[in-house]
Amino acid sequence: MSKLQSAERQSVVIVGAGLAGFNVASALAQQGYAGEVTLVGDEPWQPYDRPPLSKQLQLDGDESQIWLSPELPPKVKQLRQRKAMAINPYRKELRLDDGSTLPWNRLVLATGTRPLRLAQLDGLPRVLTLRTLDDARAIREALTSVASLLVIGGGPIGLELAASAAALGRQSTVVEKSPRLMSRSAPAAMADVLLEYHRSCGIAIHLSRTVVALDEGTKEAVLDDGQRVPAGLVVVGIGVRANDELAANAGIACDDGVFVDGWCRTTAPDVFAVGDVTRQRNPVTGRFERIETWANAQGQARALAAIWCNPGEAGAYDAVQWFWSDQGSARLHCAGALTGEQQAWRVDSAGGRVLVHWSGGLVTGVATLNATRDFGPLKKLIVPRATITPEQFSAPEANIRALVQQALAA
Amino acid sequence: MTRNSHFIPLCSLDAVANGDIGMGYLPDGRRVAVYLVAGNVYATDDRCTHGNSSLTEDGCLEGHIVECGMHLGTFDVRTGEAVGPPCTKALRTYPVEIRDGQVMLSDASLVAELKA
Repeated sequence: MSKLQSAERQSVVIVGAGLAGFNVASALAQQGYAGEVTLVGDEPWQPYDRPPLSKQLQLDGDESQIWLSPELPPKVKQLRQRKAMAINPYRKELRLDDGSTLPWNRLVLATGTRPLRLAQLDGLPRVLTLRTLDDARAIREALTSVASLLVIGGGPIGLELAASAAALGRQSTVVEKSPRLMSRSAPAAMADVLLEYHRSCGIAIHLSRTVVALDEGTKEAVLDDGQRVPAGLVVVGIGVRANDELAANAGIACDDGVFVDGWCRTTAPDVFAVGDVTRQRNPVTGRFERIETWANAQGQARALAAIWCNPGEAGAYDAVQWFWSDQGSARLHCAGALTGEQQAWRVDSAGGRVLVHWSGGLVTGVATLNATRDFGPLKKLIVPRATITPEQFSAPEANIRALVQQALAA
Repeated sequence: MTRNSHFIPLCSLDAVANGDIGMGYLPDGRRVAVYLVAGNVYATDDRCTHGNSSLTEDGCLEGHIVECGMHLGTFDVRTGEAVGPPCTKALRTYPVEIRDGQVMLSDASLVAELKA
């Protein structure tokens, strides 16, 4: 590159205005990035936060709290209701659905994911999914006129929504095809406690069952064992697939997710990706995974901005992955890999539960249910690989926070 | 007028361990979080500005930084500034001082307002 070229202002185009895209733009602006930044999103709204969509927004309809803040400064150009159609990685251009093209020096893909659908229910009325603000509004609207909600899929979003509907007085049912709840994201022992909790709140949960048909007349769903369950509204929450077609069509390596390294680089020069759409190496498991969490979308995006603004100091992104899920009054937190060969439980005086996993004597994962106070401290043990022993952790008089502080100081 | 008329007791200093978070109450019943860091005392609203969570119940103090247990957002207890995501809105802080072993709210106009 000639000196003349390198002195030109860099032009960054970010595709996707969710949490990850917003955070790249926001962090670049905050850190005084000299280039031009354009954020392209296909929705009409300003960037918003998704966690409230299954909870607060359903309960009180208050949309004022969902907008991501602080608002992006005017120097970030925002294109709304514009869909990116194709990347030309050689000419470094992005083609949009209005036929225009945006030139870029650096392109960031933050295109997220979309909900999987069930072929046997696709296109039926009263069958919805939850990803966007429009989806959340449609569900809220539908819930006002039905007596019951059927959620297909016992993952975090489905369970949060079922709990919200139950709190609104709707008859809530969850049908999950695997033998337990949260099979992809939480340890079995926590899932069992959550199952009891949701049932105690009046939510009917059918495990190892699938929905085979909807009866439009009775507004019921028919399960594979012939049972009928109330289904005034059906929401399908069985996972997501990555919106990686833009990248794949440009010849960038993808497999239900865009492969990136710790510097958020894809296999095309100057094309980066962040957030749910990425497939990255999880530093705890060592595997390439798609990490669909709020913390990853936020952290990976901020890491990319730091790498650009401060290349000498910023290291590769290798944060320990974690998530929360607020289901009714249940507060679930999980971090790291809950697959260690050794594990121990604690139940605190208020009934909160803490689960720690060890592998080779080191803490690899932590999960808490209604014990939020212990989660943050224990999570800190996963990164520096300081450790406490299962015996220390399990001692009845143990003060978790003090133990963690000692371990980190040692 | 007594010597302490411009002050409102929030909690006893004994109730706050060094490096930890204590709980105090304003006269209107609102909870405040009281922090003791290296001998200095600070106070903020108890409610995290992000989620509906109590910093005294679920928070964790490390130096001057309080981490909310619910979503792991952080604030600087000296200024209330939100320093770590997902928190972006500052926490309200309260000027306090220690008198007779009590942590006292020491903002005259605020005290007058709360006593009114």
